[in-house]
Amino acid sequence: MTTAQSNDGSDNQQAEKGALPDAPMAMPRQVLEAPRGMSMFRAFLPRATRAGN
Amino acid sequence: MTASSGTGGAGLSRTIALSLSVLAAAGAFMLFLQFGMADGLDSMDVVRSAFILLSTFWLAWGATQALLGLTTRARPPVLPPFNGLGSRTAILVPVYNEDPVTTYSRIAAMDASLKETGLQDHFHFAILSDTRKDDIAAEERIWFERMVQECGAEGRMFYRRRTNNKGRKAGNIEDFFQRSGGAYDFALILDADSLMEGSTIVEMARRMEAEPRLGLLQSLPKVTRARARFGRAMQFSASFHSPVFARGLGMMQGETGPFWGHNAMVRVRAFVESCGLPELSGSPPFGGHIMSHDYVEAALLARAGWIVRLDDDLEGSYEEGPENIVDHAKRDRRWCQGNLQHSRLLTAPGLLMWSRFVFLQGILSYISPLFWLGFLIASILAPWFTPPVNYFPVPYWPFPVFPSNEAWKAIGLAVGIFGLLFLPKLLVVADAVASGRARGFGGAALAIQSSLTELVFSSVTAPILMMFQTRSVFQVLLGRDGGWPTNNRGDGTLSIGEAWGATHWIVTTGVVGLGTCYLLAPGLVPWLLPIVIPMILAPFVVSWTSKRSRTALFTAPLELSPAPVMNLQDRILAAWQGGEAAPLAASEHKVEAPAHA
Repeated sequence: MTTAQSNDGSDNQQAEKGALPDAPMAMPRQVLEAPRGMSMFRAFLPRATRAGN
Repeated sequence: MTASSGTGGAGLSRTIALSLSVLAAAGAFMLFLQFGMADGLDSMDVVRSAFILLSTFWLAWGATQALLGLTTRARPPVLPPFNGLGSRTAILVPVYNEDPVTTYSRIAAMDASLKETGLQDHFHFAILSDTRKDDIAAEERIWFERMVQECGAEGRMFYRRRTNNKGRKAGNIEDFFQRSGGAYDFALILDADSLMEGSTIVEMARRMEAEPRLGLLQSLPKVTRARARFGRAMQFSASFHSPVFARGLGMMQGETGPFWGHNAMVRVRAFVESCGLPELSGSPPFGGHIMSHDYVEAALLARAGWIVRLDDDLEGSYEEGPENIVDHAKRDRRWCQGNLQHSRLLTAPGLLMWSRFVFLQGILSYISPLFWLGFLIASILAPWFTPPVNYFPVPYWPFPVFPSNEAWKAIGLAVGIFGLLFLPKLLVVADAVASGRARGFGGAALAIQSSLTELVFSSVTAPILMMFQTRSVFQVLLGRDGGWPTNNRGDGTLSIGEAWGATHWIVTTGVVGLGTCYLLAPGLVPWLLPIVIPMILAPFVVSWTSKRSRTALFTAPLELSPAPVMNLQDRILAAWQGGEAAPLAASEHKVEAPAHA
């Protein structure tokens, strides 16, 4: 049994058979919530509104 | 879509599909409005026309995918000569309360198949267990040791179990990347029921190496091992029709392709940099963890500038499907919640417009039955809203003016809608016969019989599936979280009693709907019968379709000629279940390379 960090930083007890390679990578959280003022119109017509993409 | 990965081609395909769909929807809207205006325009005519507009658009959108798909053939990309691999790939097998013997037999078969390529050292297997049941977890560990020993895979196969299964499957995979991602160039993400030929896995890694901008490569998995009537009908449809529909969809997607959550290879760096999923604010079903994470991850990769591609020419990629309507509905409940949750992401910053449209498309696929339901309810209520006929609409004109008979427009509309439903499938049949593809389905005659039977079969099961779907939508809208139920795999035979338990509410709805229609709008009863009869007979339909199929109908190519890796898995599973060692000696598992179309 080994102890590893879970996604939220808390301890996550993990039973292992065969050691997984120890090569951590940071996985930054992406922003998915709509910014203030973002509307469906702007989301779907980005060129017309110069927003979105 | 390798045949049309350019963005220009995708733009043209999208324009064609959108134009045709809008045209069909507008035509249907106008026809129905004129039909309704014959006895004087009322509010219900407008409401019903609006429902017809939305429904027809959705039907036409599906039909244009098939039409586009028929215009091309699957073609592999142009690649440099193969001189071996320079990359290392992790093959990730997330498991969640699965039967370890069956799951591991697939892994052992894939490992044996990889060994045939001589490139097995470039691939590691990681079993990522989120299993909650301790007895199953204990079995997982015992059988893992046995598998490693029998496969001689020390240092190439790993097992780990999370006790905190935060983030479900997406969190499980993310956890792997956070701990071990740096050791790999690519990761092949599988489901517990996934099976792939070793040569296909090598080919996918080769394609990832050849295109450094490729962030995700999705294969088109074929449904296999169906035994029940429902399962075999789905399997036939998935083998016969889906490749054409998928090709059409792929033409529209271009480099902003799909991720279906499994049987796909990702570039680890791209995935790790782009796909860290946040928890959405609020509680489930719309907040919390992102349920249908695959669509979102595809959108995030595209947002970061990576290519996401569906290569439908890749053979040797397999999965299993639900064997009965109830299991199908359970899976669909999860997908419904995931897709409706995507409504929160429609306005997410920086997404490509096509990615937003894919979210919208997923939402529409689940709420479209509500358009038909709305149309039916509005039609039953319509007589109450119809104004009395005015035979003297022109002042001081002594002769009566009779309403024009516009019934032919309604009939024409019905013919058009049935055309959108059935024509694409019939064209796929014609194409399969002409191209010789039908030979793999038992010959042209059997393929035609199977296709026509599938049309009848899907017409009978569609009202039941639509009722389950409608219930799912209402459950999600009312805030009920479906949780994370374990998938049922294997034999799914249901007795009449079990089927009644799952569908009695559909029977009640059908009887009440028919009675109400008879009382309020008896003229509509004949139109309603094709929908309510399957609903009233739902327990019998569900039970009968869950029984083992013993007919040549719905023959699929893999039933006639199972893939080498499927044969391998059969032998390994039979040996393990019989208490023997897996037959993994080199002479016993000669694997031929699968053909890449």
